[in-house]
Amino acid sequence: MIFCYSLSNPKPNKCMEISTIYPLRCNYPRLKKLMLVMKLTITLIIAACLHLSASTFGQNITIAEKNTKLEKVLNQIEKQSGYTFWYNTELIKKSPKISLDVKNATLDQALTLCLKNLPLTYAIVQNTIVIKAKQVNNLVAVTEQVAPAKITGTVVDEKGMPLPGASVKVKGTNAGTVTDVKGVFNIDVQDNSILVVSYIGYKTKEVAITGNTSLTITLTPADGLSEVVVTALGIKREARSLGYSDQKVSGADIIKADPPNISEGLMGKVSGLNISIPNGVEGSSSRIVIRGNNNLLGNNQPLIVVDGVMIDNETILPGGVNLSTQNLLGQNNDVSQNQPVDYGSFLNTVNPNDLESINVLKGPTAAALYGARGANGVVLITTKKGSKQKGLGLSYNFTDRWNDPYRFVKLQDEYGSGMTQALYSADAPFLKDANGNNRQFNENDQYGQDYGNIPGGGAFYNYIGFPGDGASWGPKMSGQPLVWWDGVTRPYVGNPNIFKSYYKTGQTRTHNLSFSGGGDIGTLRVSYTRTDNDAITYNSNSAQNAFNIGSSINVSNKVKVEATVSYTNVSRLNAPNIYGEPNGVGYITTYGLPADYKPLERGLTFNPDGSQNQMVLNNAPYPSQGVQNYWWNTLENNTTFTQNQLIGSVRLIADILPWLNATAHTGINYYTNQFETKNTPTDVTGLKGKYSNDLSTVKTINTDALLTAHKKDLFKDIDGSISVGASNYHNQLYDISAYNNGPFAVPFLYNLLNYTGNNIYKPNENRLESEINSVYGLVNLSYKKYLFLEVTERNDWSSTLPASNRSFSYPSASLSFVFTDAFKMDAVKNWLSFGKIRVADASSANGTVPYQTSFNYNQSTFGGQSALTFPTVLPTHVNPQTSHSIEIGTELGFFDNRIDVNVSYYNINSYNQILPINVANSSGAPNITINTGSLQNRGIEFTINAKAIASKNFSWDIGLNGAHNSNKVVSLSPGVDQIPLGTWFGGNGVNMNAHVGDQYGTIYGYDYKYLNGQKVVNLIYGDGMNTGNGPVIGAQYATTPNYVKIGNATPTLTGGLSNTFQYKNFSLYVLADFKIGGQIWSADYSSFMGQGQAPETLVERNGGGLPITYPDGTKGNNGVILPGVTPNGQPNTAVVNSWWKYAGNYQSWSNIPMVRSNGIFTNSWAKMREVNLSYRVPESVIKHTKILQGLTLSLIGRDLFYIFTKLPDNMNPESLTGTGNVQGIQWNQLPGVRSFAFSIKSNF
Amino acid sequence: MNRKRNILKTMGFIMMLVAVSSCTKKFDTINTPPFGSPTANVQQLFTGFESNMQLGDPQVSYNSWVYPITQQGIVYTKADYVYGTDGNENWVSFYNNLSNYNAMMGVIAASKDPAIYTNVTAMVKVLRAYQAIKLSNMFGAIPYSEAAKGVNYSASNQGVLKPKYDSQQAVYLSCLADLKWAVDHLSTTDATQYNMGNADVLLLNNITQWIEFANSLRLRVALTMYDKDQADAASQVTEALGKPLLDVDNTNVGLYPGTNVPNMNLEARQYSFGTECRLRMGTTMWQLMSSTNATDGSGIFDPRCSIFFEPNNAGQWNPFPQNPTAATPAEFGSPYNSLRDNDWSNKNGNPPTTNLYANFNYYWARDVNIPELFMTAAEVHFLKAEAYLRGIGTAANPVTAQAEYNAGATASINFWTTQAMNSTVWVQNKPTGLPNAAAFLANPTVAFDAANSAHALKQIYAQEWIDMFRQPWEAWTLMKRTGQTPADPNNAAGYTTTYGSYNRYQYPSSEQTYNFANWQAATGGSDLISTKVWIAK
Repeated sequence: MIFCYSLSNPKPNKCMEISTIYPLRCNYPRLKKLMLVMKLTITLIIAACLHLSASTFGQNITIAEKNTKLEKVLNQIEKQSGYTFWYNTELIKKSPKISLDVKNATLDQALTLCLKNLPLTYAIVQNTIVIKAKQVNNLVAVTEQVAPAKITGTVVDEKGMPLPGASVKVKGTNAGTVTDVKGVFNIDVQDNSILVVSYIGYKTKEVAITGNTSLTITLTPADGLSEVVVTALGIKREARSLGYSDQKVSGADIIKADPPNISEGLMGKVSGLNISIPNGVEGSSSRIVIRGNNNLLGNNQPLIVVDGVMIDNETILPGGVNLSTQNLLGQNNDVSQNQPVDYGSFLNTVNPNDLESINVLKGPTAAALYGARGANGVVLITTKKGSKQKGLGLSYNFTDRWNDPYRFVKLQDEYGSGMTQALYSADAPFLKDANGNNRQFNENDQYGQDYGNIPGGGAFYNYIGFPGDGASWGPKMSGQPLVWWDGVTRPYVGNPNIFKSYYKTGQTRTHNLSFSGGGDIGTLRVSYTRTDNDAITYNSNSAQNAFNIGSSINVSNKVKVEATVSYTNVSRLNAPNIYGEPNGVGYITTYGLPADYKPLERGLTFNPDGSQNQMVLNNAPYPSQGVQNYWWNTLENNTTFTQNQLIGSVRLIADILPWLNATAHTGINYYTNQFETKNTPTDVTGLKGKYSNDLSTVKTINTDALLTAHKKDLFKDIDGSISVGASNYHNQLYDISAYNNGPFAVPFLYNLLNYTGNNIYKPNENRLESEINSVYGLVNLSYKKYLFLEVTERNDWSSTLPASNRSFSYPSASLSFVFTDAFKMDAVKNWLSFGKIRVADASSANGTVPYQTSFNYNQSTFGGQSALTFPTVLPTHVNPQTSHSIEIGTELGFFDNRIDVNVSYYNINSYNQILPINVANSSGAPNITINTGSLQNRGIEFTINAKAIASKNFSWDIGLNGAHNSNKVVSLSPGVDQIPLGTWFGGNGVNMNAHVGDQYGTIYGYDYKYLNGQKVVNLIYGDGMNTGNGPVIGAQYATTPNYVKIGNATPTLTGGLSNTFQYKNFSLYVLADFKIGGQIWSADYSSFMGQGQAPETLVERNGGGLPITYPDGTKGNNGVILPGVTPNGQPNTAVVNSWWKYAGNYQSWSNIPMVRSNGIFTNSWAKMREVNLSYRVPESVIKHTKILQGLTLSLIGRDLFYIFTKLPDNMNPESLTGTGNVQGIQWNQLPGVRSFAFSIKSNF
Repeated sequence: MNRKRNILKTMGFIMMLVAVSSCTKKFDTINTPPFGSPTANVQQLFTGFESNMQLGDPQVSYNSWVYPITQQGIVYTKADYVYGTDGNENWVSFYNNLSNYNAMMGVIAASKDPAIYTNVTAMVKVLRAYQAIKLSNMFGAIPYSEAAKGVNYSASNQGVLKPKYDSQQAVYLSCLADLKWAVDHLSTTDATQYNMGNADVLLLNNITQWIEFANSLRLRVALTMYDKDQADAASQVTEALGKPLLDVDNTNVGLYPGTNVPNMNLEARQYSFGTECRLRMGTTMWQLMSSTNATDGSGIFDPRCSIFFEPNNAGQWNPFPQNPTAATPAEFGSPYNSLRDNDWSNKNGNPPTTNLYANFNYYWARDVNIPELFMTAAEVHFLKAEAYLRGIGTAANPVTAQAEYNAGATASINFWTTQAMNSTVWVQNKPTGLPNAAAFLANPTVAFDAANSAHALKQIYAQEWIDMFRQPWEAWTLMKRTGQTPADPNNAAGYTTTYGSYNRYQYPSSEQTYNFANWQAATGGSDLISTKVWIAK
């Protein structure tokens, strides 16, 4: 065998394959070159011979000789086979006598037995059998023949680490053994026997015993298509045997471009995995959906399993509130107001540097064994457990990343703040201050006395709703001197970027130090990571310390323990508040800043003594006082979020018998989340402050055990294994929070008891608890290593269901067929190197969130008396919700697997969802929890990996993945034709509903009303009653009487394209991801249009409209005719101020019906997501340092630019509101952020 | 041997796995909600029922819409708040209570001795009737006889989620029957009866008062439907007049935050007089309270005027026209701003604007003693006055009618004066003693016009309407059924244009969405606010 380390040989696999019989020892580096030449010569000859022997030997040879001369036996064979022998007679004569007893043997068998104990071997060249001495080369002497010997060997992986449980068999016999936990085996063999060593995920290797009694056998990993993947319950399987898709991403691939967290590191890398991070704010939570939404309401995110510890990716919210519960709110979930400040989710705190790999199990097929919790798919995270290293085993990585908010919405900067004055005059005068000077236009006056009414009509908000302070319908800004609200005279000029003063460049620094090592007893890796982040918004930062220990310990010959512990401590000051009214930065900047905005407030926030400047507070600079407290709140109302998380996992692996092994595992995820809020007193005496504290603890323990019996050749050519297991999952949350709204008794002292007055601040509590017990079984059968069947059955008992429905079971089956191994496909072999098809069929069932199924009165006290009121959600006797999936796929390798293609088609139906549906209140309650609704996800996914160029100095790898999913609402319970997912501003905004027959996530709102194919225009008359009396003063499009479908958020195609170029020590990695199709309703765009901020609104104001005469007699070209017909069917000819076209038809926040389809966009985009340019310092340089083992320097870019986007005016395509199920609404976007980083990776 | 033992071990392991995982003993405990209660007793449900009768959030809607509709007040600009939200919220609390009622009946029936709960049953029937009538007056037909049975849902019994609607008449008859049952069954003498004690936060288990309340309510309900169903109404009026009413001991039924309901949450009341509250004193009320338009208040003869309202920031009694025109100066002041807690005179608010018009007294927002009223003794007097004047259920007797009218007006001014006197926060214009009733009754506007019964009837309605100042929904009902409540004749068309079509509420959208067939049957598909309810003229 040739032992070649991959470090020294660029193509180790090739030489392995063709030289499996005659061992060379090449682990002496100096001999490398010489050996290479010999190796090639010899192996070529032998390979040729073997090929012949395999295909032509068919003769029946029968010989029965005892203690006979070899020559005589050979003669007999010659006669019976018709072959001619060619040999050195001396050699044959020297040979001892042999015994041979064969019946109907092949020539091969006869010769093998014949020469078995002799130092001879044979080769066949055409019809000649060449017998020669078994002297292979000059380096390894042929040893003297020895009697049956005890062989001791160690099987190791490519890194030299022992492989326990590897199978060692003597070729052609039934004798065999497996390696122990140290990878050691003992076996009795005849010399010249051949050992067949196999281990899952590694190439099977044949090793000839040539007198060595102590061997070290190195296995090399199998290539792409037959690699090992981690599947449910941590079971490792060969990829070729899987009947379902299980996509693996290595830890190295995830951290290639220094992602802020794992979610972002996965973007664009896994087909069918849709990840959204609202606005890309670092540290905010992510929404991950695999394939599509399986639940109408509630949690659609996959289960996260870290080294066997089950974790969900729920957004961290104060009060122990669970976002799933919020999603269950359905129609009461108003995303324009209910968006919480986002403190991230679990995946934010998993340290990417500690990742070995991530496996994404898509859908119920792969997750059948995670049961209830895995119904949305599973993301399996495996952390590093350490390995034997050269040198000290120490590595240090450092990255410094700058986050640059660069992509701001483009707004007009020609017309200043104002609302209705533009309707009065072409040259509306400014207001005057007390000294008669012009002052900034509409201070305190947006809804106010001067221009509150439409000329000739009533209050403007009765026509168009409620614009924010950003309304910019004011006069043209041309440098006129104006007295600003702070009393200073400034030229009236536009602000080309009103957003800028709210953002700055953020920075994230990560230090990662790890030690990894291994020895006989096992392996160990210890790592510490420190991350410091300063956000792109002010007074927001975070720091994270992550300690991780991963180890694999060989306790005894039969028992191995894998243990990991990670402790993470996060401290986060003021996560960016995006949506909150009035202090969300997204809210303020998109809704509250007019085109003449000047960032003055910040400097005026404080009095010299540090107290709040009431001048800003009371002389609110803007009409609805939006910005007034922004800076005080941002800088002085501080919430610190602290998370301490401990994840521990212990897995015990025991080989009870050669055919029986058991694993037991316990994992715990325990964390505390604390929110401590300190609002600095606004007064100089320090009493008007506030304080609150909120502490929650969450504990999840899951314990499981699995017993596996396996047998080779269970039947002819069939290997089989059967496993039975059980698990227990227990989850518990407790939260307690209390606040002290003051006034304080002791100045500037923050605690819960420091208050005066009669207020009694009572604490709030929250609890959640659930448990799932399960038993399960798996049967795996493999036929000739090309046909694989897996059947599973699982039974769960869920505490969340009514007692009689608690127990439920569900099966799965999957089949994998490697047809290129099964059939002789010589015709296509030269281009199709691997081919597999797979089919899977799986069911899954699920409980629900706790407390949905028991009848429970609401408690309160009234007048000091105990009072109970009827529950608002009625429980019923619900059954588990179920899902059923079918998946068909193929994996193909072309041109020696230089191109790998993996395609899956799936169909997932989710039935009987447990939902608290809305019902008529008159039934006694607004909601009732029943089984209802069926959703279908049907789609196709593909990944293509190609080595476009693979030469010694240059390589080019391409990876492309894509997915299309159709997410259809198939049925709801009788009488219910839609279930609301949530709304934006309720009645007159837009709604997202699950409607029978539609795609999940259809957007509903008012659309245009049509008459004979023409849009209907409502003319507004001077009497305010639309009766047609009086002059026309305005025009607005009529809306449909009811909500109609105006869009759908489901994208048509999502995916990513990566290119990796390697030139000598340089590598360049570029990843773009894309989302094609899928609509959003943009509340921001609607606001910008309605408030006269969008550049589109300039056309008429700049004279591009029709001539109109203003009420004061002035004239201008600012008129429009809304195309359409009046309600009586006559063509609309009324020319109105262009204000009506925009303010009158777009305004987002309106209690008046507006045509909402105006704000719908198909949100297709492609983005340059990750770029990494690395330079690996050559070994020749490294060597001189004596201590360094490796050094890589990288320049990294993230989120660099959009290759294309369909949204206008630089609007942010990735700024959907929150991570709930309402994913079709954009509101309060932040600017796009790009990142540049520098990274050092070093090993010692 | 060895092999066998291993197999046994394995089997044992498997058995253990199964046993451990199928253990679900703790599941019931785990899945017990940590808050709330799976069971309830009669007292808890009763108090829960009463807690659901607080005014709560609908007050915003009353302040935005109902006052200008009844003309008890005016808003200077039509409200931003959506019309009918109070209807929705009353709808929700009523059906929640209807479920509570059913649950309570279940608990009583299952108790050892249901007979001891006769008084309690009667009390809760009265409360249910009060709420059902209130709701029906807002909407018309409502789901009633089949309603609140969703708890009985099963896959084979889905109909309970979609109760049919009962006509307003059916609701009235059913409630009258309940009230009669209550009056007939409430016992002040049966010592075995369960005593709710202070857990009855409305009347502290005062059975005498419960009888009066039940009987008075019967009088109100019967009179309200009299013009539509004289046959059923008259006998109820007769019976009611023959039994004790709230006027016997001058009982004013309501939730009294200062006494019976300590720590009652009044945030919604405060909120309803918040920054977007546009309520002002209207000319309709002003004309009934002041004999002149003198803005110095010299013409005010009704002592309730300075309790209900306060002058503008310039100290002027300047009512906002009930039916404003384009010429009406616009109003911008903010008399309900919280700065007034420290600076009472600042009705202009901040940023300062000018408060031109007299507004509702800010004490309504700040007081923590003024009750949320169900029914006053004064109203009973007025109902009796109407019955005697019109001869409903009794022989017409204008003299008695006049006496009751005078008693009612006196009770009303005394009641409201007492409320102001009892207020802990009231400082400005706080009355120091009961008003001079004789002088008040002598005022030409108030003095009973015995000579003109039609006018007298309008006077009765007017005083009743004033007395209902803090029960605007009741004033609206009175307006609907009589059509004769006070209205400002100036620019009356303006009223018709602005508020004339607001006759009822549309059903909550959940009805149309989730109870479509019955909603369709009840509305004929046109669920219009302009549709008049059955009792309306």
